[in-house]
Amino acid sequence: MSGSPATTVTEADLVAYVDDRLPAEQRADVEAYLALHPEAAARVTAWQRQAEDLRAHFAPDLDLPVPAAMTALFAAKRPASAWAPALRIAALLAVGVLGVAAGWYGRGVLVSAPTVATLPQEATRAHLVYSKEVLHPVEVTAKEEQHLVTWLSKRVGTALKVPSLVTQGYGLVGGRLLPASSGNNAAAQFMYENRQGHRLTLYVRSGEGGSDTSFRFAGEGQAAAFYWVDGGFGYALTGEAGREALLPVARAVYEQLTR
Amino acid sequence: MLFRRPPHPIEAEIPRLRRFALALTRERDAADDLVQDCIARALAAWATRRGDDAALRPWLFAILHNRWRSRQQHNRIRPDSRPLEDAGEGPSESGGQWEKLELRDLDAALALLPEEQRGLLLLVAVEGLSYEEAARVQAIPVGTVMSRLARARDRLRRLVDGEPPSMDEGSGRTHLRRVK
Repeated sequence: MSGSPATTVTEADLVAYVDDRLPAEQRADVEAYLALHPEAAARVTAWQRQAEDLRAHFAPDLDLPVPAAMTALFAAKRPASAWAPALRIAALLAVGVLGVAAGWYGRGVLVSAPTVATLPQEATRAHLVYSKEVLHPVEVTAKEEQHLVTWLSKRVGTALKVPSLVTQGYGLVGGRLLPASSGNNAAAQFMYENRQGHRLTLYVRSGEGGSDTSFRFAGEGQAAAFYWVDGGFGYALTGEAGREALLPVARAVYEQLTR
Repeated sequence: MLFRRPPHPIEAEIPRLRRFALALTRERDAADDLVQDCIARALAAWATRRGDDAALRPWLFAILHNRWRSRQQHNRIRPDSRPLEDAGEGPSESGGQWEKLELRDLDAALALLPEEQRGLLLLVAVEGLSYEEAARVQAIPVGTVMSRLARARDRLRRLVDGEPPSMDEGSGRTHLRRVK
């Protein structure tokens, strides 16, 4: 260390003086010392200037844009501030209130939804998709009829019967599980085919809130459907055929299922 | 979203953590890697953290420094390459290539400082940490902080003035000889 003879001012004092960490009294002592020791004074002056240079040198580093990878580390974490959970609860409550309000004002709609009108729509849509399918018209073929019926009964939620349409010239191809907008959101589709390769499908879904209905007909565009509600389940027989051609088959299905 | 996620208190410290990491490593990628490591560990320890908001920055700096040190130890190849700057200064080596050094640039001078000295200058002179806080960050006694600061300042001053660094100081990494 340079030129610090027997005085009370140490190198640590000079450091603390430069960093402005000394109490006023000690500061005065250091200044008195520096007045008498030019070499120490030069050292301190150089340190002070250096500190200013360092602050200027490192300042731009704070303006670097933060990489997304760093902020992403926080996305997975729960909010840290104390009021954040309260905010989330408030948000949940707000949603809850909205939900209750919507339920009240919309109750007329909600109770009857989905309306039975969607039954032929969903059945027809499914029919048009799968009846055209050559390679995979069904998920489970008629060879495994017992398995097919057990599986779809379980998913749809009722003991399904597969009507026989042999008398009408149609044999069972098989069936598949489909999404539905009602009940437990599962529907069953059974597919039949005659010798000419003409296909019919029987669509069954749960959750029909309204009362039982009689036979209804819905026909638009390519396909037509006869549909009805029985015991909370909706049924639709769909085919690319006119009303007259479809009616006897639908009647046969209806009679077998409601018997 | 209905409500924006309030920023985590650590997020506000990211720029300062990166600056400290950059001062230690002087490599952008290595620094950011270090900061990622630091944040991950800080978040993991967040629930059990003690201390008020004022202590957050030194706490984070300490985690970062600790991660840096353990990487240093892991990466060191030479067995006897620990920083020696606290062992005191011997006579400066003069002659040879050192005489050709002309370091008027502060950045070039900082590059020749031992990492611990460079980091400490940042913590105290730039970040304004107290000596006690800086001592906790570097896991050294306060007295060592003072002597290390004095040594760092003297050495940096000489480097900026164009004097060669003495051989007894610093880790091997900072002894980058300029070969002409």
